[in-house]
Amino acid sequence: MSTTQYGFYYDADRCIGCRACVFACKDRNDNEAGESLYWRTVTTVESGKIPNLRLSNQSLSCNHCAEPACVAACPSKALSKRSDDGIVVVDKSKCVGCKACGAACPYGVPQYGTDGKMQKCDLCLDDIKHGNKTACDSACTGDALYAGPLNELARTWAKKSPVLMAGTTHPSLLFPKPKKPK
Amino acid sequence: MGNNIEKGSVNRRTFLKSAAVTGIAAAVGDRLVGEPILNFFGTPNVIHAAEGAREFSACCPSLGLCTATCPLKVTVKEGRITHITNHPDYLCCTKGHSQRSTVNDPNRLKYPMKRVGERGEAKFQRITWDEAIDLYAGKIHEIGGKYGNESILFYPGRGTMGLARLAPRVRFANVLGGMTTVWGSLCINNKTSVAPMMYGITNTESDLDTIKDSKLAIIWGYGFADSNRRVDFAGQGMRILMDAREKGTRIVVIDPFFSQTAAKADQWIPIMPGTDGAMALAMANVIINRDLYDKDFVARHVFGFEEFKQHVQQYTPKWAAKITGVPEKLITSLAVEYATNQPSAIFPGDGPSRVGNDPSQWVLACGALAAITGSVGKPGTNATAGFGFNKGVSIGKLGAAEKSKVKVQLNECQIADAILTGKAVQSNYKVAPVSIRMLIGHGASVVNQTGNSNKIVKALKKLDYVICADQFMTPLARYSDLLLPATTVFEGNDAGYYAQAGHAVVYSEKCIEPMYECRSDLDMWAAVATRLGVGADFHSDWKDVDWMRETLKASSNSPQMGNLTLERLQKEKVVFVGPRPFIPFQEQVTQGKPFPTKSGKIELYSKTMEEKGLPPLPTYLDDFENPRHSAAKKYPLAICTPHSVAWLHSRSNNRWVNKLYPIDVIMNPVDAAHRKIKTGDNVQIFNDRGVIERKAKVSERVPAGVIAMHQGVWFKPGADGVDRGGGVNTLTIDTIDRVGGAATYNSVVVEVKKV
Repeated sequence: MSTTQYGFYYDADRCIGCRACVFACKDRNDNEAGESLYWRTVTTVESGKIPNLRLSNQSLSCNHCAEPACVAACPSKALSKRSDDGIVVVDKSKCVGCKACGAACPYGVPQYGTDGKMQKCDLCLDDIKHGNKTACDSACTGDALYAGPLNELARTWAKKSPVLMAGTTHPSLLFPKPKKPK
Repeated sequence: MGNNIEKGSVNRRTFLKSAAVTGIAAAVGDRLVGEPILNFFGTPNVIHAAEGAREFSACCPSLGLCTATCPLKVTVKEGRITHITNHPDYLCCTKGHSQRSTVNDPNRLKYPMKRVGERGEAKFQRITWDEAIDLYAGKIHEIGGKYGNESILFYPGRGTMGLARLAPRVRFANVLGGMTTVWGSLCINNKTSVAPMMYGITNTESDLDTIKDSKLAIIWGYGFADSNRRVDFAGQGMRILMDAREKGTRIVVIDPFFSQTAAKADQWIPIMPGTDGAMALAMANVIINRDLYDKDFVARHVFGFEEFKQHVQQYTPKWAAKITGVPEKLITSLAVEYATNQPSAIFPGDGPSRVGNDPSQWVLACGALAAITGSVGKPGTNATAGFGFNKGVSIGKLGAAEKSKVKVQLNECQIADAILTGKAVQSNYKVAPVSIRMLIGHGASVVNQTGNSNKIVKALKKLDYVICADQFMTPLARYSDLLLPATTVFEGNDAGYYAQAGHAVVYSEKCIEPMYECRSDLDMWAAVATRLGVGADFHSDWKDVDWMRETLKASSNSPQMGNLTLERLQKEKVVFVGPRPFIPFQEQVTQGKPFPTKSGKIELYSKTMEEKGLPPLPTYLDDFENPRHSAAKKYPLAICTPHSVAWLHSRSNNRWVNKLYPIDVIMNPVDAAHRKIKTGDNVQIFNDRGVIERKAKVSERVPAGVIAMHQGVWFKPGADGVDRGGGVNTLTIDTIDRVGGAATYNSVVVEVKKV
């Protein structure tokens, strides 16, 4: 495949759960997103028992999957995967607001604004294609989240042996290889 | 241009500087609109450079209050702020990224108003600025004339600590002949006044950078991840900590609350709030009795070791385990590890110093641990809690202190008590009579952020007149007679310079004109001073930049600030001053220079403390609200009040943030089961001082016997007196420590019930 797939590298061990990415994304994109929607979310899950407790942070937006379920589910061809960079985009003029994408996406990414139409992360398309960072990447305070071409991200983080997230839709999301539990 | 990976370490400005020389900057300019972009940022995000947009370099509105004063990039279109995000060279936290929601909030105060309903009803009527200034000046004239200026409490709060307001906020009161002001602090005097008792000076904290040289770093009651303490910009503390850990530093966090900071440590040690001093002294007991102390260091640099050795015999790990809830073996092993793995450091935070075991004996106990192990003045060490690196920003003679005839002060934590009782503890701890009839608050969170909110409300209702200048209908605003709409930092020029630890001075340029009819505090003071005939004396014609220029000049005696001019700051926007990393007492330890104390040594036995009638040796005093206190019969749970990453005390808790950060009553499954409480249940958390009603969150993030509730959201009492906003100070107390006159919020017990 000649496509340079764009996506994210995310190291949950470095994520401090601060949500700078959430609000940077919102600040950049909310002209469309409106007051109450967030294209990126951070969930913090607590596990274990005192004093051996863990907080697992998970920062998530659209994974720009290699085989996006949303695109396959869309009856009006409003969703498409760009051929040159693999970024999944929505053409609002074609969206009929049927929410089939929302039902199909395994990660709960599609959101619907007051216009009823689907909206989501477009990897700050205008910026990333001009060599700028995405809002979330630029904002990350923990050195946990980066966006860009997956092959470049994999090379940069080679020391952490990044692996692609497993999933039927093949998300474009690299993780450091999980360490064996002590 | 590829994806720039080296976040934090790449300084785009360094590139730009060389680029500017070679003319590269011009080449990236065609998508950029407006001069500030080209002059400063170089490569804006495309969306920010929309047609007609301009970009400005500002400082987070937490300037002067948060120790990280992060630079922000502000995009303005048609006079309105359309984006606020981090400066591309630096990072900011959630507080910076969500600022647009604060500035553009439709609920901002928009014009001056006067009260028409009862105090607390929040019924107001719009007036003109002319009327407002007449009222402000007229009430000072009337009440000051009748009862003396001592009867007016002038309280510019932490919202007014930018470089442009630091001097005028003092000068304003003084040129009017003085008004009653506050001493002490809601904040860190428990550390900064205590550290000199042992080390002679306040600046006892090493820069966090030094963690990388520590074998073991004990982060004690210190939430870097949420509070950005003692660093230049957001996230820096956590990156330093995580980098050090990846390179082999073992990180231990001692905290009653399992914070995001604790989650990144090798080990979390939960502890009962307020008992940290007991644990520290028991560690000293172990280190001395096992003969693990640094004899050479003690002989050369420590005064009072023999007395201390005898004194700590009472503090056995077994004794401490009962009080702290930390197992005896763990206290012992941590003490041994700290003493035998030097260099190791204890980084004491703020929370444990805000407790009733007066006067912050824990700060001294940590200082003693560093002294007996020789963990001072070397890379990888830290003396004790105090100030860190100090830039030396000073207002000098700009304050015009000589013009004030008022000699009394109120303790900042005890404003209500002074108003209600007519007695005020002075900084020498003698009690002086006071009669406060009027309060003037600028950016002051007197209701929300001082202990015992209900008591303050009672006191405010007793006053003749209350003026509040702020951006929103704050808890203080609700009880005011005159409301003045204040600008945000983006509507004027200012600079963040926080003096405590960070090395950055950050310029904040005017991005937009004042919104609505808002005015800056400075404008208000100038207008009132002019109306009262002291305009020339106040320098009413000085603009914000003039005050900054003069304050920088007044600070030129400081070796750090000496060369910094306003022009340089305006040009570079972010200036770092002082050598880094700052590690205090290096000359004392490596070159034998005496410590700045009377004895020239680290004084484990402090004669200064003895002269104040306080314990001369670090002592654990159990006399505060805890499970052994008589109040615990009714209220068996201790409460701790962590900071949230999303807002700073009572500020910036805006609509974007509110949605994602619910204020819950976090309680351990054991305590919850005992009370038949499940996550999501409505619960009341209460003691003799007040009642809060919020939802419960059952979690292992606190040990049994401890409740956690994030502080800062606004006190909102209903007709039944129950605070459904969740301002934790509904429950806290207004007692102060005996050295620095600082708050002791974390010595509070409560009970929780399902409703």
